[in-house]
Amino acid sequence: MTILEQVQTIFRDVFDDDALIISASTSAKDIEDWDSLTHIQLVTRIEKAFKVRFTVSEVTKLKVVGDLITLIEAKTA
Amino acid sequence: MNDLLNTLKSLKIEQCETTDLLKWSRRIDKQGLATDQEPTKVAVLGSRNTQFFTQILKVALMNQGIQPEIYEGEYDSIRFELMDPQSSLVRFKPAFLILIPDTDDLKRLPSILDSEKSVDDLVQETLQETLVLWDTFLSRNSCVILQANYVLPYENALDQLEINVAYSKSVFITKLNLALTHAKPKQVHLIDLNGLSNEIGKIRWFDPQNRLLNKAPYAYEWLPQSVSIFVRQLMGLKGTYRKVLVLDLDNTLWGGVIGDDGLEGINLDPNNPVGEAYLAFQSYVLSLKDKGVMLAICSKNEETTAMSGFTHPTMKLKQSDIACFIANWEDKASNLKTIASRLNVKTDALVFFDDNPAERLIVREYLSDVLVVEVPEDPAGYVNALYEAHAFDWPQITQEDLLRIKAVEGDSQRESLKSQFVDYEAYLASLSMSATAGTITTAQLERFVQLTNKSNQFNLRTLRVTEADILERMKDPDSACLYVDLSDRFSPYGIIACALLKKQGQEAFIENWVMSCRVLNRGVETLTLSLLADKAKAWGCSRLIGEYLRSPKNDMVSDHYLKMGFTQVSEHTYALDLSKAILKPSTITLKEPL
Repeated sequence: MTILEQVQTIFRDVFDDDALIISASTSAKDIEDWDSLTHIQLVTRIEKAFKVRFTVSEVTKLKVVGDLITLIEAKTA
Repeated sequence: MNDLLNTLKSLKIEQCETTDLLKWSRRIDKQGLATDQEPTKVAVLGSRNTQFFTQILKVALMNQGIQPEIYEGEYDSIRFELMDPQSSLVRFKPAFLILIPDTDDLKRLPSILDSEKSVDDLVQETLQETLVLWDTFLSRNSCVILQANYVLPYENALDQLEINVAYSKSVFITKLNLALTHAKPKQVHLIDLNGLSNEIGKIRWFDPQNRLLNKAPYAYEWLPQSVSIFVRQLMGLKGTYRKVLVLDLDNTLWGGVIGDDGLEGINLDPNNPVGEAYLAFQSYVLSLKDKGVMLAICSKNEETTAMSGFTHPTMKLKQSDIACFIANWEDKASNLKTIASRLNVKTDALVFFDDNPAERLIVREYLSDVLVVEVPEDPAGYVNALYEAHAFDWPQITQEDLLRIKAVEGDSQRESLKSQFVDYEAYLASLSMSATAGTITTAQLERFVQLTNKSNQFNLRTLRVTEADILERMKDPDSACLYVDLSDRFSPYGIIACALLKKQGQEAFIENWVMSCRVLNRGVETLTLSLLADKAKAWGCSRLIGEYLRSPKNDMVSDHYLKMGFTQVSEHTYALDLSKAILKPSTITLKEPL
């Protein structure tokens, strides 16, 4: 599974939507339930799944799914 | 929709993940789960983020069968919402108000080398700020406040000095928490959030990153546990709590099987680690009995064999500690029903502790309202398993809870006395009953509310009340809160009957009438009726009006008013003409209240 696919699984679970498709350009305005509450859930779940830890500064800079993927790649490289 | 409701009810909130509970919460929001049940209004205000807390609270209340209506205050608005007489909170009229202040709210802390006296002064000043908030809000609104205490931080600038000097932050917060305990009014119940953070461990409790990113007061991981402690208190205050601990014997109270190993063969050896584990468990069970939990035994054994275990020299539990003893070969689900009926409770008041997973499964299957404790294989873990079930997290303990245990012991003596009499009146006379009765005072308030809320069977309208509701009625000249406090030659019972009466012109309406089933058919019904009639006549009323509202549990009193001589005037309503005299029962001697 690619990182995007793994992230998509987490998104589907958090947003409770098995048909959800995300891409690198997906942002909070594309997903109705993506608010500050679900955002922290996504971050927590991704941190757990990839065994990484994001800094406060990194989390505040995440705008689109692509940012997230780049960050995971950098941390797991 | 019912599927979702049923799933919600089957969740074990404390064992759920925060993310899963939030998912349930969103599903509820999408489906709009409204039942025809009267909603319970709960307001949540915190100094930091309360959004997740509120969402999980909604799931946890529905899990308990409550239809919640939740108001969430603006971020950090406790002071404003409580002080402003026109705030949204005031307009919401909560029945329960949850307050979660944050330790960072405490802007003034002792300075290094401050004297103990100045630390204590600062504690008092800080306390006053909270007291003003409570008093102001409670003087305008009748509700119950559930307030979290202050959580001591993880990091300490003074390290070991922290507990060696009076001016440390830890000592200051500890003193402040204690001061809240001493000064709180009756309508405030403190919630030990600091205690929970200790159980979990401060380093895991806090999440500095989430605190910065989301203003989270603590790691979201612990929301299920922290919401649960509030919900347990709330349910207790609504009158839902458990009273009886049902225990197995073999490999639960002692090691081994007494039927096979014999009295000498069971392990209760204080010098053996395994025997010690069973003795420690018995000690914990006894401490529950001391606070008013009734104990019952349900064992697959011959009765005489089972009872012989209690003669073991190191056995801590005595047969007289047990309110109901059942040892036979029938299935435990049926036996639990028998225990409930003998102790005059419903099966939802029972907690079942048995080392045998098969028995636990059967009870879960057939009696889903019994709380079945998950018992570990190793007896070393029994005490913690029972504690962690938090099955008896009562919001208060009254004198009556303690008397009930004595009364249950008296019951068996009373039963044997009953068999000696053919004439029931003669039997009643032989009990030498005496009572105090009349209008309650604040000293009796707590018990009055407790009995009103926990009585299910002898309860005419199942009206649930808070202490604030009763305080309001005590001040109202057109309301009366009446009680009966009974004793007999075997035991004092305390307050066992409560009634609420309201003047409505020429009629007096019985808002509610409850009685403890332990004193059924002893004349207390008639005595209570005479109190109601006396009060109504004093108001100049000519008729007493009673109403019976059916609940799932109050079938017992469906014809109560007819039995009491009322005439039915409509489907639920009954009337009693007050021109006839209501005689007090001759078998109960009335005494002046102390």
